[in-house]
Parts: sequence; C-alpha cells; structure tokens
Amino acid sequence: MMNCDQALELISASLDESLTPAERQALDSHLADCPACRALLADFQKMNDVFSTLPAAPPAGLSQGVMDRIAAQKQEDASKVTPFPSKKPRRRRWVRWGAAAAVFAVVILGAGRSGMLDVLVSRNAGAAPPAVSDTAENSAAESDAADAASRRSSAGAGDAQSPIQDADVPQSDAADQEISLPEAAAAPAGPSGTGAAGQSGDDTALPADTPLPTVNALTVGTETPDAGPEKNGTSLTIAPASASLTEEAAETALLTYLEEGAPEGGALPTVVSLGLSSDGTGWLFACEAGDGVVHYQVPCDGSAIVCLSD
Amino acid sequence: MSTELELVRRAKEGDEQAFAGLVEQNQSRIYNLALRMTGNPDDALELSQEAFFNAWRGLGKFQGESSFATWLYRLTSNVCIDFLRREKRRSGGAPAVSLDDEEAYTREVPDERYSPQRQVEADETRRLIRAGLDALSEEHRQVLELRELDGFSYGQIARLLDLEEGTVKSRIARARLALRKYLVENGNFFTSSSSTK
Repeated sequence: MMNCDQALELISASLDESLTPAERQALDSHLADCPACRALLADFQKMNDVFSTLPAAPPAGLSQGVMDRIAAQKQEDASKVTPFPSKKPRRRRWVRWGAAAAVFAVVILGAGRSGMLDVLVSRNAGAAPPAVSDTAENSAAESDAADAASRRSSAGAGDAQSPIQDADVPQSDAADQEISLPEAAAAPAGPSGTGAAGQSGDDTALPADTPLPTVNALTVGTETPDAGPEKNGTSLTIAPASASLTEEAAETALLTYLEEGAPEGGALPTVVSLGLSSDGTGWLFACEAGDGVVHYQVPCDGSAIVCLSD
Repeated sequence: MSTELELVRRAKEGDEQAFAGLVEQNQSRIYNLALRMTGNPDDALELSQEAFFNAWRGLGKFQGESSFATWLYRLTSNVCIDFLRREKRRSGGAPAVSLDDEEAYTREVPDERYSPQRQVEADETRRLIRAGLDALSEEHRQVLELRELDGFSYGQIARLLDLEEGTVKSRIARARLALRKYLVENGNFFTSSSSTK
C-alpha cells in the first residue's frame, strides 16, 4: 500500500509525464481512499493551470530580428577585407613592423648604453610575462632596417635622446608597462584610439617622420601575439604615458587570441564584454565555451591576455 | 516538423532556415527567461536576439553533448547575467530587476472574452502564484520555473542542474507542496472562482 509521501511524488509526476501502468494503478487506488491526496491533486492541477498563463508571448519581431542580424553578419563577413583571418598577411605585417621595431630597438639600445633606460628596465625585471614581440622576425628584419636605423639615429643625436626622455616621463604612471615592439612601432602618425589602428598601418612602412613619442598614446592589443611563458623573448620595456585600449580593440584582440588557440577553424568564439575591470587595468570578457563560460581579461597596457577561469 | 536534432545538423552546415526553425522552437522559452532575469521587455527582446545570434555563431562549438535547447538556455542565462553585471556597474549598484514588476512579468494582451470581474480574478491568481514562487527557496523556485515556465522535461532539468533525474522529480514534488502551502496561507488562490483556461 502506498503512503501519502509516495503518492505525493506520483501526483506531481502525473502532471508532467505519463505514469507507468503500475504507477497509475497504485496511485488511483490510494486516491480512492485518501481525500487529502485527492485535494492535493486538485490543488496541484490548479497551480499547473495558472502557471501556463504566466509566460509572455515573445514579441512578434524576435525571430525575424535574429534572422536579419544573421543575414547582415553574413554580408559583412563576405565583403569585409580583414587582415585577421589569415596568418599570412599578419606575418608580412610583423616583418614590416619588425623592421620598424628594429629601428626603435637601435635607438633604445643607444639610449640604453648611455644609461638612460636603466631605471625603466630594472623596474620591469620581475614583470609578468609581456606581450611578446616575435624576436625571430625582428632579427630577420633587422638587417633590412639597417638603413632606416642609421637614418633615424643620425636624424639627430639629440633627437635620439628626447623621445626616450618622453618615454621616461610617465614614470609616475600607474605601472611600468611592456609593449611588444612591433605594436609600439606600428603607431600611425597621431594616436588613433580604435581597433583600426593596426589595419590602417598595413600599407605603409613607418614614416620617417613619425615621432617616436607617439607610441605613448598607442592603441595596443589589436595584434596581440600569442602570449605564453614559453615564448618569453627579449622585449624592451617602455613606459607609455597612456595605453588607451578601447573595448572594441580588446575584444578583437581576444578573438584573435582565441582563434589562434582554436582547433581547425570553426565558428568564431562568442565573447561577451563585461566591461572594464574594477581596477581599471583591463577589459573583462566572458567566452561561451561549449557548456561553460571562460573568463578573460585583456589588459589595457597590451600585456598578455589572462584567462581568469579554472 | 523537423526534430531538434535534424535542425541542428542542418544549421551547423550553414542552413539558415533550419536555424530559423530552432529559433521558433525556443523563442518563447528564451524570451521568458530573459524577461524573468531582467524584468524589462525591451532588454529581454534584445538579449534574446543576442543569445540566438551568439548561438548561431557558436554552433561550431556545439557538439551535441546536451540538447540544443539546454545549451541555448545556458547561453541565454549567461548573456543576461553579463548584461546585469554591466548594468549594475553602470548604475552604481542599483538593481535593474524588480521582480514585483507586474508589467514586466506578463505582457498578455487583455482577452476580450473575460469580463472585467473575471479578468481581475485571473490577474489576482497570477499575482498570487508569482508571489508564491518568490517566497520559495532558491532550489524549489529554480526547478519549478524550469518545469512549469520553461517547459523542460525532467531529463533536461537534470542535465541543466547536474542532478539525477530522480532528484529532480522529488524536488519538483516538494516545491509544489511548498508552493501550495504558501497559496493556502496567503490569499484566496484556491477559493477564487475564476477560471483561467
């Protein structure tokens, strides 16, 4: 014989799923003798009825809105000439910027020999893994940049000094920050605060008259290279006045980062911005990964993207 | 009508119409989830669409380890949570959601068949059951919402909450019992004569 406790579960289940014949029979014979459970069943049924009236009908345009957005995205993907998807253009760009980086390196080294960079460099001795510059490509490009380098450093011994002094200036800034040189040198004349900065520089070599201090206002992160401890090469540290990384640029950087780590090109990872971190040092993102969410922080200073989840 | 499995298979191959079918199948549930979480129909609409869009773009990563409906549900929940976090940050901590917001909860077009009297009674029973849901423990409310409002099966709920199906079954029964107790003690849910169907 069934007791009321057992009956409770069957009564509840009968609203949701079919009972087995055995369950049905057991329940029916219990109900025949138990007014309390009959009342319970009636109450449960009423609750069930009212529940069905609660959900709101979705707005008429919901479905069409989704399909329109999908169609728009398809068009955008088809027409956009973007350097991101394939690695090849990126590598070409590294080579170009590697050349400019080499230029920069020569200037910095020159300044370093004079002892000006000691303060900056030593401060960063214990820094977190930097956004690494691809040293292999830098050195490959170095010889190419030899002419440019000599041109630059002879552009005025005095000039070689002043940019470094400018780089010196923001010591009072929050943290000494490391920028991977290819990005540092990728500054177009004048700061551009959007993620397009990297793209606009694609077709120009570093102009000879690009003032070096411009690096201070750079949007870094548009081409954040794979950052991993095993790739910790030599990267010189420069303290910029401000590295203003926009949310869009951070998102792009993260997508690039995820794409690199993703297996045979699937759909783009879906990231949702959570906004600036509470200490203001980076942009937070949530990335939908299968049946879970992984969180990342993209630092404003261009250092390595950090995975925040276990 | 195609099964979810079939629609997902075709959608993964890029068949937009198949995906449209998945949207149709899930939009009520997804919209209502977003509505519950944000309390705001406009936000709910936008977040639902965003969730579907993200699902489309993330289809490559959906391997069928769970049903599409539950995968989408989790995705939507995360989209809403992220939204609420951003809103909270923006408004300096003031909550964006008011669960007492009657307007937000039901957006039904008034049914002309009901007399004003019956409409008032129907509204009252709905108000009472919502209050009852709010009064439940988190655990009870969650399973009841998933079953009664989102229409998930015991099996799907089990996967969503990472529980045994038997646990889900028994938890729902207890939740209903707790709700019934609340409704008996607060108001005239069971005594009102209005018919809601």
